[in-house]
Amino acid sequence: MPETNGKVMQVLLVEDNVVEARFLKADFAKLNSTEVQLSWVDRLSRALELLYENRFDVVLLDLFLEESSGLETLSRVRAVAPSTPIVVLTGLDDEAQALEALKGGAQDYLIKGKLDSGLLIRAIRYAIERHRMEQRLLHAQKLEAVGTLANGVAHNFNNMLAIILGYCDVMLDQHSSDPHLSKQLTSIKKVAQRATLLTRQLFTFSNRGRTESEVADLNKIVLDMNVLIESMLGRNIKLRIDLTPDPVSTHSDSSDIQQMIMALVLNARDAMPGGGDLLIQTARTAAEVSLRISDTGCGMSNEVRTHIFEPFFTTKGLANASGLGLSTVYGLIKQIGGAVHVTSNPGLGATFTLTFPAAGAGEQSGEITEVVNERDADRHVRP
Amino acid sequence: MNETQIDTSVLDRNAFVGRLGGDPELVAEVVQLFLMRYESAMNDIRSAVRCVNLKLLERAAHLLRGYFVSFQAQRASEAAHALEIKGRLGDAQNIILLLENLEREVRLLIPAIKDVAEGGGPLTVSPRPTTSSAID
Repeated sequence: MPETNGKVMQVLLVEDNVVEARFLKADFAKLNSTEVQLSWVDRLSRALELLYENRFDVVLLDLFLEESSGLETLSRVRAVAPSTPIVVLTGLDDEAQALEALKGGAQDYLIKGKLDSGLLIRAIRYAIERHRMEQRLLHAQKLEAVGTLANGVAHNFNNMLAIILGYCDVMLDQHSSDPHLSKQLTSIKKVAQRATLLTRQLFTFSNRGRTESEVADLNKIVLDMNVLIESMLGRNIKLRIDLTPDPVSTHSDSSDIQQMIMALVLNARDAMPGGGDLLIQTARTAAEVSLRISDTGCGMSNEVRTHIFEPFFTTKGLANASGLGLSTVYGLIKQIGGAVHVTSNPGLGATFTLTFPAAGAGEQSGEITEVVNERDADRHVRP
Repeated sequence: MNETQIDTSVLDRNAFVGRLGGDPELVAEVVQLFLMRYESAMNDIRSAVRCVNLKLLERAAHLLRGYFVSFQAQRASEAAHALEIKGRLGDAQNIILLLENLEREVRLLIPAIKDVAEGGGPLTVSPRPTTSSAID
């Protein structure tokens, strides 16, 4: 199934009517047995336990249970499993309540007594896809809101920094004969210039920075950065570079791609404090070229993954990192019209794949895709 | 309607058996599950009506209706639903009459279900009682 990348779909059936549960089991049995694994519970409390301990692809939920009824049942399930799609099971005469359940966060509903295996699987697939779309939209809206905020803050800071830098220059001219004061003014100017760089990164994230397009060769960029990357990694991290012989050019400013590589390499390095392997690969398809950076570091949890592209999010502490590295990658790839794919599991490293439109291959969608981990391998976010 | 006609409103045998893929063992299993449980729900409804416990009435009638819906037993389902609504609305008026109607429908349905489980011939039932529409 495309929705689950060929994996067995885990379905939790919460139904206290044992007869209906048996019918549903029979409906599922008609499907390809490798497609769906059904778990059935007849009590809400047991369902909540299972949802807390396990990950299900979808919940089939009877709203009217002994311990809870109506929308309260839905709310309790959503509280424990907010990221699991829910299909409500309802009687023909309870359709109004099912519609309320849709407003309350369920993805779809099915009417008991009018079910068959085909309808069941279609509803489940639809619910999973609808839930994904909702999550994508929410994430895109969140990043857009953060981008707007970041742009506003950066704009005001930039104006203030311009004034500070201007006065620094004026005072440096006026007090050039005073070496002590000149030194202090130069220090102020340097700090203000560093702050300006930070605001530029914020502009980049919010997609309001400059974009200068040229034809950039990914292989050449990687080879040019080879020495720099090795010096950044240190001796306990082994660098391996695997470049495709195919042409891997894209329309982009080379410095933007270098900036993305730097951010991802630094991230990988910090994820491998005890050493490890870093692999940089390039590849090409008909319409796209890609750059993949894989590490064998600590990986990341789903929770961390949901925030990695937000400005100022860092697991290293803001004293040690700006929290702008990956948000800059996000902003740049968005401007280029490419995508970033992330696969990671805690303890199993991380792989970031940057995909760009191949030079001459025409315009691309500008999709930003997060492929999160093995179990969430097809999650997408469109900014 | 004469007595030789099949009344699918009591039990839509084809829909019920069809959903189970016509598997006689599966049909027998589901019928057995139902027969083991419906009487308990009926007793809860009788008790709820007797004690005017409308919360229990709603709950038990809902469960029983769920069984009937699964079996495509439309008339029994409607009879249970009428009681369920009474329980949900907290309205005790006419619940005894509604229970009598439900008992009648169940008496029609159970032999029909057993007949299906035993692989019996075409289902023959008596015409729908006219009293049910005048009750509520």
